[in-house]
Amino acid sequence: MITGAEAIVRCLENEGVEFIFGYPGATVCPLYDKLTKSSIKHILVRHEQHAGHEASGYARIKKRPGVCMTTSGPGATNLITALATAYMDSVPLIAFTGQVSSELLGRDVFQEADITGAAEPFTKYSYLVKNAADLPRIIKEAFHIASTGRPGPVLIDIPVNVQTDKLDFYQPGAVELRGYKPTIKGHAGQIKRVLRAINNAQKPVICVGGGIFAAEGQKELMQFSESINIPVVSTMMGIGAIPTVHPLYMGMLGMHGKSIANRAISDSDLLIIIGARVSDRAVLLPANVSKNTKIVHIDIDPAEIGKNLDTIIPVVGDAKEILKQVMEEEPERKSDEWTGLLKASREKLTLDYEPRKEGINPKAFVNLLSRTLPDDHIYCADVGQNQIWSAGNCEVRSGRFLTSGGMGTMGYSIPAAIGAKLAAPDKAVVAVCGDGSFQMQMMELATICQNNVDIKIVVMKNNKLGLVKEIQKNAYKNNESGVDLTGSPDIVALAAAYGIPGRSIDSMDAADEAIGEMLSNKGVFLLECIVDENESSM
Amino acid sequence: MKHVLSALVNNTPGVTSRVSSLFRRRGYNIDSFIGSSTEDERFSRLTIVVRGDDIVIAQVISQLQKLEDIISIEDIQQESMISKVLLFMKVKADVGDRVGMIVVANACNARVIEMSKDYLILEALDSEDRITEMIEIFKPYGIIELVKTGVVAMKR
Repeated sequence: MITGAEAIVRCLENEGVEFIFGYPGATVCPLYDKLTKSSIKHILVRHEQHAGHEASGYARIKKRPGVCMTTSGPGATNLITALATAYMDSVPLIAFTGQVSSELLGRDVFQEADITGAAEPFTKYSYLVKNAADLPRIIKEAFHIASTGRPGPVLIDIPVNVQTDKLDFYQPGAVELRGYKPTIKGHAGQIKRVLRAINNAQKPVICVGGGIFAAEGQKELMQFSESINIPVVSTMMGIGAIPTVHPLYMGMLGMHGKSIANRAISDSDLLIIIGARVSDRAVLLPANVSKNTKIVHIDIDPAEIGKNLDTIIPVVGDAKEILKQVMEEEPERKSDEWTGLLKASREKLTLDYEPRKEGINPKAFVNLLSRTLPDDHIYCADVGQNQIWSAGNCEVRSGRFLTSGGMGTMGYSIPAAIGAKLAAPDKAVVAVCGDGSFQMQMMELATICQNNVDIKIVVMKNNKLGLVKEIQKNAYKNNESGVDLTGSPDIVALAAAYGIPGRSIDSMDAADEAIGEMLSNKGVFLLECIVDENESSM
Repeated sequence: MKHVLSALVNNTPGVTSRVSSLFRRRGYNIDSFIGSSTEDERFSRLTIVVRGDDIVIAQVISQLQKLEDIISIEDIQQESMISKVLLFMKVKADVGDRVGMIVVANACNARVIEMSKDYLILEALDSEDRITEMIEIFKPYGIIELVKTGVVAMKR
């Protein structure tokens, strides 16, 4: 007989878990007690929300569920934003929360929160464990649910007495869930319809979203678009699905996207959506698109198809599998007329990379930064103007672009970068945030120092909450309200207080050299970039 | 111990979820949960059957009473209520078994409401215990599918 806590640790080891991002408390003490004897490394975060984000960054790079753990009550509720962020972006997480002893459940005792109830809208599934004997089965199921189909966070709430109760440990058998059987292969009839639609189209466009990464189908996407000669646009979550420098890539679509990407969609006669939700930020007026364009929607989640856009040909399944199936049918290669037209307009676009009188040019800066970084770098963008600057101007070649696309959670970039770096220690990882979002995550500098995580941090500083200020300028007659960040610390000095080297630049003249200094520094480095407060996001 | 709760609630979206979540919080599984409209379209009647510790159930009832959408809620004592369960059951019926099954069904106060060459569909309206018994009686024939309402109950 072993305790529930020992069983949990053993199950996690069997699942190949390397790291747990967490924060202890009374109701997870039995578990923490057993962790010290395990091969799993615990990363102590400085706020529970970041435990979830770090697990998310880890999961997105490692392509396995990230694991986070907090105590009951406030520890658990602090995790909710991270769960919601992962849920919106379909990131597989396993979140363990401690819970008060099961006989006290529902009595509002100290640090009790109904977390399975509270997190219900933000989790793919959740468990409240009542018997220690269920733990091996539940943990196995949780990993299965989190990582298959459309991935997402799974919460396991474990009362403290269940962690100390004894059980006969067993290896759970194969997961059998009657109501859960994600479709992988596309329906043969639908594949044929897709083929006909491609063959009949004059101006097809592929719109790719984050689902392509979950399916690990980037290679197939590139083959598909190159062999049939179809231009590609992406949602924010799909950035990097094919290299942003690829001749067939027309950029990110949507409210903050490239005009050429939006034009490609509005002029197209066939839109092939792959693993994308097509939210309001991607296509503002879906009714206008579907009027002129035939829409093929490929998604593993049948509930996404037809949710935001009227779909003519739905194909449910795994993006990689379906792309292979379509290619096996050998669709006709399209002429260069349509792609040539788009490429020509793209070349005419002028990039606003001119130096500024005050501060750096953030668009030119992120472009320079990403070009200086190795091809396979991981770029973590935060939320706010900095996200739009990054999404529009950062070059993603063979690496990844990580951001909170659906939820738009400020304070995502640094913890995501920590998780990403732990998942891929050999890759260069950079986090780019604003001075607003930096102050939502700056406590994680301690986590970085404690674990020697070698990431590079760029803080775009304009002393304002820039994106909100921009909304207020455009829609509220410039009435600035609640966006002034006066009182913020000297960020470079703050980094220094943690022993983190850093510097500040206020013009593009110094950018090249400062980026060089940052990237050649062994270990974490913080670069502050002064940006004029009137800099616009587009 | 088994409890039958009868609640009059506002007929608005989200009420069932608020009520059921209080049981989930305690880790209790609800045996049955029936909601339907009443003679007054502003209100719905919920009949909930749940097993649990008497003290905890009493507590849940007082928590439910606090909810704005709950007009009244009562734990109906078994002896003071009338209650029924409705059952539909699709049972395999080979030619040889058919007549015997119909006799058994009659003895159970059940009606044959549909017959095909392979199966019968039976309907029964009875107390929960007798419905449970009837299911046991028909198991050997091979139950293909069954559906029953939970307990619908009213205080005498």
